[in-house]
Amino acid sequence: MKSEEKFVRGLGQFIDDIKFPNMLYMSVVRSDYARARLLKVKGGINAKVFNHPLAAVGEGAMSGFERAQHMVFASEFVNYLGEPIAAVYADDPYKSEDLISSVEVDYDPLKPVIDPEKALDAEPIHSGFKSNIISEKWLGKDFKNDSPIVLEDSFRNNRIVTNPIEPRGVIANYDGKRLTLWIGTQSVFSIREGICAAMDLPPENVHIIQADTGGAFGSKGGLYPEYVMASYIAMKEKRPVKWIETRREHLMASHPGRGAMAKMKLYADRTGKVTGLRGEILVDSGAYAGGTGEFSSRFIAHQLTGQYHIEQAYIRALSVFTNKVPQGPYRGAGRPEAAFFTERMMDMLADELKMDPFELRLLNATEQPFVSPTGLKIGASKPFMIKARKELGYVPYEATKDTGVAMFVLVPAAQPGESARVRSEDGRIKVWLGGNVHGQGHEDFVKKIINEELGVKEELVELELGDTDAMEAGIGSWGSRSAMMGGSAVTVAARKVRDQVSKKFGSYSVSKLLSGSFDVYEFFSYKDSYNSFGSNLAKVSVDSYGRIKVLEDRSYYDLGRILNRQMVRGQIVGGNLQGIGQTLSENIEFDDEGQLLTSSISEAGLLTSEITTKYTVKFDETPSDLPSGAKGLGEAPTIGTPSAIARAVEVYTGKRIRDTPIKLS
Amino acid sequence: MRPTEFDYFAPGTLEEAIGLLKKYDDEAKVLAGGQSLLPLLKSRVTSIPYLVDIGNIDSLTYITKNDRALLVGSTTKVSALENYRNFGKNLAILKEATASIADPLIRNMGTVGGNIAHGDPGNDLPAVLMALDGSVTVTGPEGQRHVRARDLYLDSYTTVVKSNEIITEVQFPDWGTRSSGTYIKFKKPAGDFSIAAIAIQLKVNKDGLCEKFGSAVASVGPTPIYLKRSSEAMVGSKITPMAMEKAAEEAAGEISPTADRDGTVDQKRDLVRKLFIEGTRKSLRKL
Repeated sequence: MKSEEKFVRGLGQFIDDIKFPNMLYMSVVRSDYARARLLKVKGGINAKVFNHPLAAVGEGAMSGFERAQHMVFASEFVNYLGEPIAAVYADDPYKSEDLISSVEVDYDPLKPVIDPEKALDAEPIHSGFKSNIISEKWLGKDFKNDSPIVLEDSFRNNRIVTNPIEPRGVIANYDGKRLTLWIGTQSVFSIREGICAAMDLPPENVHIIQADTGGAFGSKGGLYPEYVMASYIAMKEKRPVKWIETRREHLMASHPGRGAMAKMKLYADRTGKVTGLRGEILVDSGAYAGGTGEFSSRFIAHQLTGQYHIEQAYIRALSVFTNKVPQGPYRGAGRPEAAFFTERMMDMLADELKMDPFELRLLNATEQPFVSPTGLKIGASKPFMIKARKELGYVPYEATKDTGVAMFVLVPAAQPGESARVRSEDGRIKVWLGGNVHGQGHEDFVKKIINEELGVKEELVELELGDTDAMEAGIGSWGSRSAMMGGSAVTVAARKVRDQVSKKFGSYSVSKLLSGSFDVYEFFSYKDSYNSFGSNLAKVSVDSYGRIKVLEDRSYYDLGRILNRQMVRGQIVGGNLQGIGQTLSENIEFDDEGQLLTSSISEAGLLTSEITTKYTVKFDETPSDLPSGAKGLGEAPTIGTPSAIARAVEVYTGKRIRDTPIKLS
Repeated sequence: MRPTEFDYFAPGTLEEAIGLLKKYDDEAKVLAGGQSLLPLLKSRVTSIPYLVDIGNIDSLTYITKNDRALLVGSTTKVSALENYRNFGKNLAILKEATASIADPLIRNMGTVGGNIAHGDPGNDLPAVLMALDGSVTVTGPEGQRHVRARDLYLDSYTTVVKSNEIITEVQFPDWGTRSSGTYIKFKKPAGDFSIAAIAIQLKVNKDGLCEKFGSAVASVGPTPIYLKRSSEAMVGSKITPMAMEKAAEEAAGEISPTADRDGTVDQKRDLVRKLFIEGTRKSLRKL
């Protein structure tokens, strides 16, 4: 049975489908305030019995920050709505939820810092800090520029939360020697690293097993306090402990992405050639260090030169604390923001010069590989753009009425490579990947690679779920890396299996392979970046009430070798739809007191299939020189779509678009 | 997302149900399809010690007609009304309104009576019933009484139905020949709740003069609102663009919206003005 068939038939075993006898159910007591002094916490498991910081692990997480760390339980202060204060548990989930009200919490509410711009001048939310600035870095070099055209504007991508169909969840169990966690995750190894650090346990005493994972989009790569709480209670009670996130908890306390603003200043000559770029990126990191917040402002800044040959750039990258849930990765994680800020300026310049936006982009493309002042390494973008114009079916006349285009660079999280294990046993091939599948259908590319490399029929190949006992190490499935890095690791491992078979039998055949036991673990190491190009074209209409309808979303991406056409198309169309969501309606919004205004998926603007549109998906298939031949994919559609739609709405309405979600009234 | 403990009753007769409501009074609540009540219980916005499920009372599930109205038993599923084949043009509004409620799965559970009884100002059928000048039959310990829909709602989630009474039948009047109407739901960007929705029903005479006109709105006040002044302004003359504009201005003034993430008070008034015109035009086209 193909992976997608299993899920469509309802045969998946997600974390909440797993039940153990004697299981306890955990619920979390959370802060009612965005900022308060905790006067009293009585009841449940709280900071008095377990006072330990969360380890920074997973995608984009920055460790080494000793202050302002997120504790598993808040003690003296709470710094965001929904911050965990205590955990309660009972024999059934109903009683567990009843117990939430048995924990007494007294607050002394304080004025919260909600707006990231105001955070710059506001009193620091953490004592011992001089300001709310958590990180500041300048990229590029200061420059003098007397170009005749200087354009300035500012933009914002509001926070959005990942909202996979399956929320987060965990089961922890302790047998007196080893702690075992069953979990929906993108990376069992990140979870193990985090649990070991937070619980002071050696890795050999912690076993992480992945359950079928129903979507993640970034939210299941790192450590969360609930996983540590469940582990603590399991060790204390010596019983299995289950925690399943509610949707409201997800909207309130799962790490949202985006939440980035930019002030941009573009210099150009009268022909349209961009001569310089200045900018300031401001990222709303939320209340604590250790998330993606510190890093993401500089990651956005790094990409701001886009596909263009811009020789002068000087960007200030700032991240600030606010009294909001810490930022985390959301599909794209800094890439869509960078593309949005850059492409909005390119469109502004096209309007200023009354130039065709595509011509303007072509004029600024590079014919040679180029390293920009912000350090972004790109290949020749001009040939890509010329192909994109054709493949996207770009018509200049339409671009003045209802059509927008966007060019972007996909910077995949290639480093430090990825692991895989290939084992032949009992006439079948089992494969493990260091990054864990969470809905993308990695089974399909694994089967194809094994079939190509070893000649084994696809039905004899299985991709196993993540398990820290099955391999020495692994990274994770995020940052558009799985087919590139995981695919390469499988390829190399398969080739080594082939060598082993040849060595043992003198020659290779499928039957020789399947008749014996062979087992290869491979860490495919990669220390470089492997950036590729992408482009989107969107068409929209806007009705007399100001409602935007996306009529079309066309994608043309440089993807390298396509390992499975159907899955690639599915990834792109799904990502297009997420990009539409971010652009039209998705939002996590707080009032001035830090209370959540978007506490249901309707209020949070989560769209359904009702708004789906017409998609055209095309790709350049020139293989990369990686063993798998693949290039980055997963995040591409969420990067290009918002920028293309924003432009389409702009030309349709004549109103300048600066923010997502777009608000026309 | 799990409710607090409650006692659950599933009476098989109306008498038993009313007996239970009388016994537990304010601590009891009628459960019909659960479309609205179950989410409120699960999110613990409310807790109710005694739930009286009327879903097993077969005598409350029916759709029939008399010469004046379509009569719908209160536990009739929304989907049953949506799929009813004999509306005719006169009650086309019911097809539009029922089809705009949530999604098909929820319409298979939600009931017509529940949609009207719950008192959520965003519900769809109350505005339709008000526009049509329909009514409900309310049954309690003292017997039956009829309540005109336009008199039913007192405040958000508050109706004139007492805690020991049950809405047992809903009457949607048939306005006869040369009548038609429409329901336009202006939804929030995501989900199925509206920022504003309008129900319009009209009837013209042989000379094209407006003989009857009913309009009501949802989601722009603490209750669904019958647009009395604008409806009355339409009656007695031709339905011209100018007449529509004038009545629409009136409608914008008859509502009491609050400013929120979906718009300012002025934006919502403007929205209702536009919806009034669009709805009237659409109803005319259907005649």
